[in-house]
Amino acid sequence: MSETQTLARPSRATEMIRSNARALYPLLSLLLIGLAWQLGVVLFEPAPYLLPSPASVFTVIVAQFETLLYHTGITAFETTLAFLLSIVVAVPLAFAIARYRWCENMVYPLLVMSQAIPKVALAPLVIVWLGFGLGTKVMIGVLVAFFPVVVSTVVGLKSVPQDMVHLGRSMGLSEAEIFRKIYLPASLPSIFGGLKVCITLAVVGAVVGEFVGADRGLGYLILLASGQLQTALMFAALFFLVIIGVVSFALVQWAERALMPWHSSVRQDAA
Amino acid sequence: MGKSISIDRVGKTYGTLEALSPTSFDIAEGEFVSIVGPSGCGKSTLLRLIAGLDLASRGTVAIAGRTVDKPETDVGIVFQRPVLLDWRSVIDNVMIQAEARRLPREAYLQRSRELLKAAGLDGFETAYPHQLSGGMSQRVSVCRALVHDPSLLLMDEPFGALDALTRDQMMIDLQKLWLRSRPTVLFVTHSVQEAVFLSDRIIVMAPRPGRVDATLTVDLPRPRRLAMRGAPAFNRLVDDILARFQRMGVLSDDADQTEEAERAPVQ
Ligand SMILES: Nc1ncnc2c1ncn2[C@@H]1O[C@H](COP(=O)(O)OP(=O)(O)OP(=O)(O)O)[C@@H](O)[C@H]1O
Ligand SMILES: [Mg+2]
Repeated sequence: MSETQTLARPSRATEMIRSNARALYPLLSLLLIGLAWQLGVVLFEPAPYLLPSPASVFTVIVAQFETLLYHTGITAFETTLAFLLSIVVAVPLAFAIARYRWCENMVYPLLVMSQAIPKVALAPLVIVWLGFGLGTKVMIGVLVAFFPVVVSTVVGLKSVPQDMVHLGRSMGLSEAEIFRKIYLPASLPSIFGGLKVCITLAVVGAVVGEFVGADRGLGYLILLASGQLQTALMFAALFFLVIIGVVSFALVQWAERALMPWHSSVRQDAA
Repeated sequence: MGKSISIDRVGKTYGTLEALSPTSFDIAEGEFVSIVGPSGCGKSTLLRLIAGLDLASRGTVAIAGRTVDKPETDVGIVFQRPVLLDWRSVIDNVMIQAEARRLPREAYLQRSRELLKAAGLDGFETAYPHQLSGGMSQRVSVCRALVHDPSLLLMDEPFGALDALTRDQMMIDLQKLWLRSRPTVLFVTHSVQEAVFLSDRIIVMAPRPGRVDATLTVDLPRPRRLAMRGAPAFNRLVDDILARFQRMGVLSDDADQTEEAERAPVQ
């Protein structure tokens, strides 16, 4: 039967080689930039506090590896909490907005207006309220990051086809079951779109929180290094910040693949 | 055995648009009734009202004597589009009926497989909707409507996306199934031949605003065979319905035989 053919997947080995090859390209461009950077430093010899060479940044990373790791852990922890709390706040809020007209009319415009406030400007206020502890960083992270999740979840819920809901009703599903078996899975692709933005913003929020008041975390380390003109250390901290961003984004993407292998944004054949 | 349906001056308006002007008809227990009519005449709207998925603007729908005021659940619906759940495999899309109704899993798994096989979907049980063609998706949705043996079947152009051969096969299978368990069937179609082949009665609808133009009784013996489609009695009915469409102005013949059609006997 020819139709069964279309179900066959490319073998695992070819798939792995292909995805590894794709991962090589950005690494290659990074390597080239590093080389150009090193060459520029060797040729023009800028003051080290202006532009340290990649080699000296690497030396700092090796020498202060444990300190860097400690601060990275702090920032990663704050980011994770902010991300999770954003979901806990945003998803139920989005459901209320999509489900109840009065909620949409009352809450949604306020929410949209509130986004006009630069959240960074709120940071000092949060410090007044929550002090200098973990709460402040997480709170700022949530303030910065939760809005895209609300928007994308509302869009997802509202675009569930009417017939699909009708199908659920005609099968005698309760409202809760219709939510769980139809609305939630049907809007998952949209929700994940929001979560990908959310995770990158959560990192921003955590660092902003550390800038305004902290005694640990990569944001704090960057400020500290800046004050002492230890530019190589700043670059090292930035490097670890990039790693947090990339790894956390990859984790969200991995969760997306694991939860919805059926969706076209995830499928190989739809790439 | 199916339930009777009684539609009493049911109308539906969307805003200012009258989708269905007050309509009345009755369907007996276990009757097979088709609805034919031009696009936009309110066929899908009517099905939604009967299923209790939409509220009538006026009039009442009653199923087995009980007024419909909430979604009917002893029903199998084939929507105009397949409406498969993308995140469920083919077999799970059919099995959601059993799940929702808390029917024994093993027995219904078996039945789902048989239905899928009869619909020519053998070997696709674990495929996902994105791996199916349009016609295959529609067949899955037909299986989903049948799996729990509902006493009322509402089918909105279930064979619309199928090729002529598969269509004929599905028609035969549907007749067989109907003869066996005798549900009440309301079957919307664009194919006049299909309507005549399957139905006890045919409701012909006219557009703008949607209303019943005529109700025709099909007095052909059952079980009907495909070859019957050439028979004079069969063709008379088909021609009669087409003539009605011509008069409505939704069908025009090149040779313009409207005059002639108007003189043709009406049953
Ligand atoms: N939810 C809705 N809101 C507003 N108007 C609607 C809605 N559903 C249907 N209509 C209108 O009601 C009329 C009848 O629509 P309906 O879908 O019942 O037609 P139909 O006979 O099923 O047509 P088709 O054969 O093309 O499927 C159309 O004019 C359509 O624009
Ligand atoms: Mg329709």
